[in-house]
Parts: sequence; structure tokens; C-alpha cells
Amino acid sequence: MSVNRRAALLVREMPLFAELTPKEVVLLGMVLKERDYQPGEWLCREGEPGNGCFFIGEGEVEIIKRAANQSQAVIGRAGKHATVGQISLIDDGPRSASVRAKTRVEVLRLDRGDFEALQASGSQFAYRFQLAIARSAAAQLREANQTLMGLMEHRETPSGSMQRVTLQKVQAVLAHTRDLHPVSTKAEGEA
Amino acid sequence: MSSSAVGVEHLRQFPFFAQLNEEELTAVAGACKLRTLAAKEWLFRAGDSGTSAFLVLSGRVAVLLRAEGRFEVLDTFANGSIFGELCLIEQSARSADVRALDGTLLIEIDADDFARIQQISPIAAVKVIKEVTLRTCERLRAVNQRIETYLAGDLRTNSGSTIPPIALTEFDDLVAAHPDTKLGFFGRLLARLWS
Repeated sequence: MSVNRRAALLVREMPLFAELTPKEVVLLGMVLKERDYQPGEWLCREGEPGNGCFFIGEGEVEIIKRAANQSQAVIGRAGKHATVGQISLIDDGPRSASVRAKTRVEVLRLDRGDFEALQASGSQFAYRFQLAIARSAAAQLREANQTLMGLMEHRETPSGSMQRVTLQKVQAVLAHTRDLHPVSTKAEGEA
Repeated sequence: MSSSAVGVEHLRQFPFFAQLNEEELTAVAGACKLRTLAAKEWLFRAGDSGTSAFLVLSGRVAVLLRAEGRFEVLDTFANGSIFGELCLIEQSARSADVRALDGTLLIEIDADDFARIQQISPIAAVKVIKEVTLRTCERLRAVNQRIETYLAGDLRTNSGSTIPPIALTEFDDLVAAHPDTKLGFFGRLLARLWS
């Protein structure tokens, strides 16, 4: 099967693209870049410039953020039909987290340049896609707020002074706000 | 509350619409209404269903969080500001109260009216949604940075402190207060969480 056919098939399966016209499906299939990742391979790294988003086919990826002392925490997962990294399509900042294949995973990538061409089309799809990106940014903001609130609760005493927080406590808070397992539990702590 | 036509010239003063051309601004103006508030009038309360974005033409509004029967001021908005814009992308309940400090003139954009802009000028609609996304991303970056600071073990005592909760009866004093209320970092952060 040619790369474009496989991409078009995956596009047709994704709820995000459910209302595309057949012509739009073909066009999107042509600009999307397909790649399979092996378990442990990185799709993108935190801090690097980001200029494209990933649509996940078969398989699963982990979203990972750096924590203290060189260790990392898994802060989320994404599986089939998920969209990851879409904020880089419109925001110039560096990647806010790393993404790594947990299993073997099929990925379609949309580059920023192609996305901008799509937005200029004024099509229904362009609007819906932009709306989907906006909603995912809002959802990420809500989750980040919750994480921060959790950290704040652990850090501030009634008198307002700060206390040291061990990495394990931080991970416990993150685990509470999101389902996650720390990648590394190498923690130096102080009570 | 009064309703009357909003013109392109009203919208041009807002950086939020900087990327829109004349035709696109006209399409957006068609979905806008003017809204007048008297000093101390409530615009909405926490828990209300949020269906409109607001832009401040003149006057000031305060964002208030109720805690244990008292109010805490999170932020104030004056001319040139927009708030509640997340309502344009999704429905949710208001997370704080908003009350006018002075006599205030607002532009209101109802979410359903905005959705109809997409038929008239799809590119205008996309540009507005993109602007909402960019602002959300800015806030997300600020919160992520703070999370990273915690994760990196930054333990400097925060010298800014949130202003103490004020009793509702002290609201009159708030009206007279300088609009740039000094909020601690967390107060400002909480203000960014809102809306």
C-alpha cells in the first residue's frame, strides 16, 4: 500500500476528520507525513522548537516532563486517534513536554507550513480544526492549573512560608491530578 | 442594559482583533452588542452558565472570588481588555464573579452569534479562534513555568502576597482603589486561571 493511501485511511478513521469531504481527505492524506516509531523512540523533546503535530494511529505514546535532579515524570498518555503537540501549529514556543512511543506506534505528522496553508483555505474543516486546537489548549491549561494548585497546597503553610517538597511528594501530587507513573524515582529528599 | 449596534471602529481599538481586515471586522461587529453597567452592578456570578465574551470600551470591572463569605479581588479590567473569551470555544460555568467598579460600557459577543460568523466570514472566525488559542497558550506557558520552578526545587519565599479578602461592605473602598491592585504572583496566576 502506498504511503498516501495508508495516511488517507487513517485520516478517515479519526473523529477529528469525520466531516471532511472525500477531496479534503485526499488532500490531507497528501500533506500528512507518515512514520512508525519503535518503543522508546522520541517523537519530540521538551524544550526543542516545535513546528508540527502528531496524529496517533495504532499504538500508544507517553507525555513526559522533566522534574528535579534529571529525573522525569510521565504526565499523560495518548493512544489511537489522539492528537498530540497541536499547540506548536500556532504557538512559537518550545515543546512543553517530550513525547515518546510506549509501544510501536503509527504516527501521522502535520507540519506547520501545511497547517497554515490549510487555514488560509477558509474551509469548514479549517475552522473545526482550529476550534479543536483551541479546546485542547484550554484543556491543557485546566490540567496545568490543577497540577499547580496541587503543588501550591503542598508548599504553603497557613502562615504563608514555603516548605521543602520532596520529589516523591511532587510525584504523588501529579499522580493525584493525573494518572501517571514516575519514570525515575531517583529522589533526593528533605522532609 | 441597552443594546445597540457595534461598529468596526469600536473593535479596532482592541489588540485582540489586530489581525482582522475591514471586511472581517465588519462580520465580527455584526455578532456584537453593546452592554452598559452601572457602578457596582453585577455582570455575572460564579456558577452562571458562560455564553459570552466581553470587551471593555470604558469603565472598569473587577473579578471577584468568594471565599467564606468574603470577596477576594483577582483582577480588574479596563479599556482595551477582553475577558470570558474561552466561552467562544467551549461552554462552561463562570469560575468567578464580575462586577462593575464604575459605570462601564462593554462589547458583548454571544457564543451562538459568534458561531454564525463562520458562515459569513470563515477566515474572520478562524482568526478569532486562533487569537483565543494564542492567549490560552501564553497562560499555559506561565503556568508550566511555575510548575517547572516547583519541580526544580525553587524554594525562595514568595515575597508578594495576595491581598487580604475584603468584606462585601468594603466594596465601596475598592471602587475608589487604584485599578492596578497589587496582587501577589499567585493572585495574578489565579486571575489567569479564571476565564
